[in-house]
Amino acid sequence: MIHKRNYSGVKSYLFKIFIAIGFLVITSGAFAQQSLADKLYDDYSGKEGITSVYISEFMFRLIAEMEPEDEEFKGLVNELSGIKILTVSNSKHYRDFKKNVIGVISSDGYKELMVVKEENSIVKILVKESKGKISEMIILSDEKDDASLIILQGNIDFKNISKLSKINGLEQLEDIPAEDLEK
Amino acid sequence: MTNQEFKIQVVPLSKKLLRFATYLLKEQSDAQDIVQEVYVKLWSMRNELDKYESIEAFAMRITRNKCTDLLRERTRKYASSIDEVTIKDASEEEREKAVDVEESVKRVKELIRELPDNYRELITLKDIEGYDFNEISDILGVNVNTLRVSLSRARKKLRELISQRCYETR
Amino acid sequence: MRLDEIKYLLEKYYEGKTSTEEEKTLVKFFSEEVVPEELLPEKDMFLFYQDEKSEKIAGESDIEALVLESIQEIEAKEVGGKNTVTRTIRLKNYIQIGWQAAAVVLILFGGYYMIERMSPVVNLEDTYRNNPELAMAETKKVFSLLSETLNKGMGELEPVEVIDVADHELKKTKKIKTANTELTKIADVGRGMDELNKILSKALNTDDKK
Repeated sequence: MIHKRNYSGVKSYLFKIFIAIGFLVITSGAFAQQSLADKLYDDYSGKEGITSVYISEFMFRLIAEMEPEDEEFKGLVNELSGIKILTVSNSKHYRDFKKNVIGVISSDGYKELMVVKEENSIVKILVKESKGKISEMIILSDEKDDASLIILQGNIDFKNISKLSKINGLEQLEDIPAEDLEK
Repeated sequence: MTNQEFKIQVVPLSKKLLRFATYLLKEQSDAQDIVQEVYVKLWSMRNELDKYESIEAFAMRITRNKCTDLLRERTRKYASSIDEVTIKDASEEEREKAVDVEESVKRVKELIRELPDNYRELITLKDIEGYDFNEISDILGVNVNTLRVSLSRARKKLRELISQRCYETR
Repeated sequence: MRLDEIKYLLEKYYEGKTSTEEEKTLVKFFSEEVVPEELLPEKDMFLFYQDEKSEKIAGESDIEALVLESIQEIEAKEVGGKNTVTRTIRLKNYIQIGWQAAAVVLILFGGYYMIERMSPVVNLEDTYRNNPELAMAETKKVFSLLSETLNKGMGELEPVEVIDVADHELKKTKKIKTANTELTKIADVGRGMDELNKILSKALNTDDKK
């Protein structure tokens, strides 16, 4: 029997194209849906009375190099794919911004990590976990009439976060000797 | 395949096709014609040749078909009458002078023609030309197991012939 | 011993079950060794095969050239002319290609629209694209806030009422002692942050400041 290769011509060609596109789409992350927090950011950035800040993965790479000695900083920054910040101060959007934020954080997927209430302020930290890593962390800070929403996105390891709780930020203040903070 | 590819890949097969045709036809002049015919056909099919896993097997098949067609056209003499086939070549004569070629071996050459066509064909393809069972299956269009059985019979038969003709009288 | 081997192989051979290696062994034996009388027919057989293998067939040397010639004749005719068979094949190919191309275009467009619909119109630009130092500062500010909050939450400090700490790996990490010194230091962070904030907001308002 002579083995003939089945030349189905158009069909196999189409199939290959499908696979190629599918592959490109998936790898390009185009299928990565917006998270609710993302949507929130998009909706409110640029609105009156609202300050929005976006720091991208590219920027993180840059600043990580700016302070090569700081291992913790680098470690955390390397896992981030973006930071989005929205600050709303007593504008006409304040109320419904807050409402929407509450809507988002109470939805599925966001787990409340910690809430710290002080006299004039309340800070909430929520995380969205996937496969043992944090894909999104939301820091909500509310002071009197000032609200800010910070969204950290990436593939964050919990260990790096807990490292923060020991040292980070404090290094800026030179008068505190590092050893005193070691536990 | 392109014209160029054809010339590079397919044309060199002509030697094997010629050998095969010569064995089948027992006459070298016809064999050359057949091979040329085969190539005309292959050339006309060159766009579809890539489909075949073994172009050689396919070409051999065409060759065989054409040879059997030709044989059917001719008046068939009974196989055992020894055709005066001369596969002659200058080098053959040289080899005949060589020390190691015994007469009995030459006799086998004649005896093999006494075998039924399909036995001879099988032995030619397997023992002489060295094709494997899969290739022969492609060429002849017969499944491998049947081939094995036929080959077994062919070999036995040949041995029988040799032993009868060359050694029994001793 | 060897003879037995050979006889065994020969049995296999007559059943058509020998491998190429085994057949080579047989050939070698029959061409080099002294062969017992009973196996003389086999010897003739195997030697015959070898002989035939190397045998030159008449016309072998010319056949390739002949074949090439006849093909080139045909080729010449084709190029010149009205080879309708080739024509039809070519046309068929073009039509096929046409359909394939159309299909590809459709899929590409379809894919494009699909993708368009899925991802948001992302117009996100780095806010500090011209000022990486600011980006750094802002990032650190975020981290500071985070760490401050974490410290407070985990440390169970007096002035702070900790509502809830989720059951998480965070708990497993060592807790910070709530020594007074710590309090002061952390308070310093708060103060430090305010300072930082002031500096930053100043900087943000005046573009050229570092």
